[in-house]
Amino acid sequence: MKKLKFRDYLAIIILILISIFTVMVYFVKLQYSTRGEYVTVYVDGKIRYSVSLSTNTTLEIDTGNGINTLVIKDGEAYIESADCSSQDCVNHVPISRVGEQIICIPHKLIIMIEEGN
Amino acid sequence: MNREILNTNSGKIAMLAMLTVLSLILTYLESVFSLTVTIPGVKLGLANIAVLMAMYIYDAREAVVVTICKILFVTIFFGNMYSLLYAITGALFSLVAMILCVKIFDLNIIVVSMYGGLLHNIGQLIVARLILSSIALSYYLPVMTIGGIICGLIVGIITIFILKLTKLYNLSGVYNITKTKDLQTYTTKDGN
Ligand SMILES: [Zn+2]
Repeated sequence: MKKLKFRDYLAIIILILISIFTVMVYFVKLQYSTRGEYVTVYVDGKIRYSVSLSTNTTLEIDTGNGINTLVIKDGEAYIESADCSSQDCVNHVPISRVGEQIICIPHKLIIMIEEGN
Repeated sequence: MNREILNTNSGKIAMLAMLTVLSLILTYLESVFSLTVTIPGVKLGLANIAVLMAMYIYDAREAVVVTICKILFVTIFFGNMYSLLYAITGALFSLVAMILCVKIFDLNIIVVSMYGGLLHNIGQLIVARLILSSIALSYYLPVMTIGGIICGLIVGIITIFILKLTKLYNLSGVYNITKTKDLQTYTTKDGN
C-alpha cells in the first residue's frame, strides 16, 4: 500500500469523515428512540395492520405479491417465513425499537415499529 | 503473454467479453451468498473488479463498455425488476464515481475502488428510498456507507493483485508508469 499521494490520503480522510458522520446520525437517532408499542404493517405504502408489540401473535400477510408470515413474540417482531425471491426479510434480525423496519422489496412490504399515541 | 494482441480490436473485444463474463459470475455469486442481515437488496459490488480491471487494462471507455454489457445481461438473466433497479443504479453510480476519481482526481486504484463501493451503495440506498418511501434512512446509512467502503477496499486489493499477477495493466498506455513499475505509482498522462 505504498506510494499513496497526499490527495489519496485526503480522499481517505473524507471517506472516514463520511463514515463517522453516518454512525453519529445513527446513534443520535437511536438515543431518541425507545421501545416501540405498535407494529405497523405497510403494504404498497398503505397501512394494512397495526398490532400491539406486547401481544404474542402470528400474522399471515397476503401482500398481493406473495405471503409473509409475521411473528410478534416477547416484544419483538420478525418475519418467520416468506415466499419472496430475496428472503432478505426473513434474514432480518428481530426489531423492537421505534423506527426500526423490516422490508420485503419484492412484496412491497414494510414492517415498522411505532410508538403509542 | 503477448500484450500487443490484446491491444488490437479483436483482442480488446475478447478481453472485454471475458471481463463482462467475470462481472456476471461475480454478480451471480453475490446473489447466492446474501450478506444481508439488515438491508434488503444490498450487494457487495464485487463485479466492480471487472470494471476496475477494464479501466486499468485499457481506459475509462472500456470500463463503460463492461458496465453496460453487464447491465444488459443482468437484465436478460435476472428477471426481478427491483433487484434490477438496484443493480443498474449501483453499477452506474459506482462507474461515474470511479471515472471521476481516476480522470479528475487521479487517485490511487484502492481509493478509486473505495469510492466506487461507497457510491454503489448510495445509489442503491436512493433506489430503496424511491421504491419504499417510508424507509428509515438513518438506520441503513452507516452499514451502507462503511460496508461499501470496506467492500471497495477489498475489491481494490483483489484487482491490484490480479493486475500485478497477469501483468495486463495499461495496455493502451494511458497511464504513465514510473521506473519502479509499481501499479500504485500510476499517474495519468495529463495529470501528475
Ligand atoms: Zn421478503
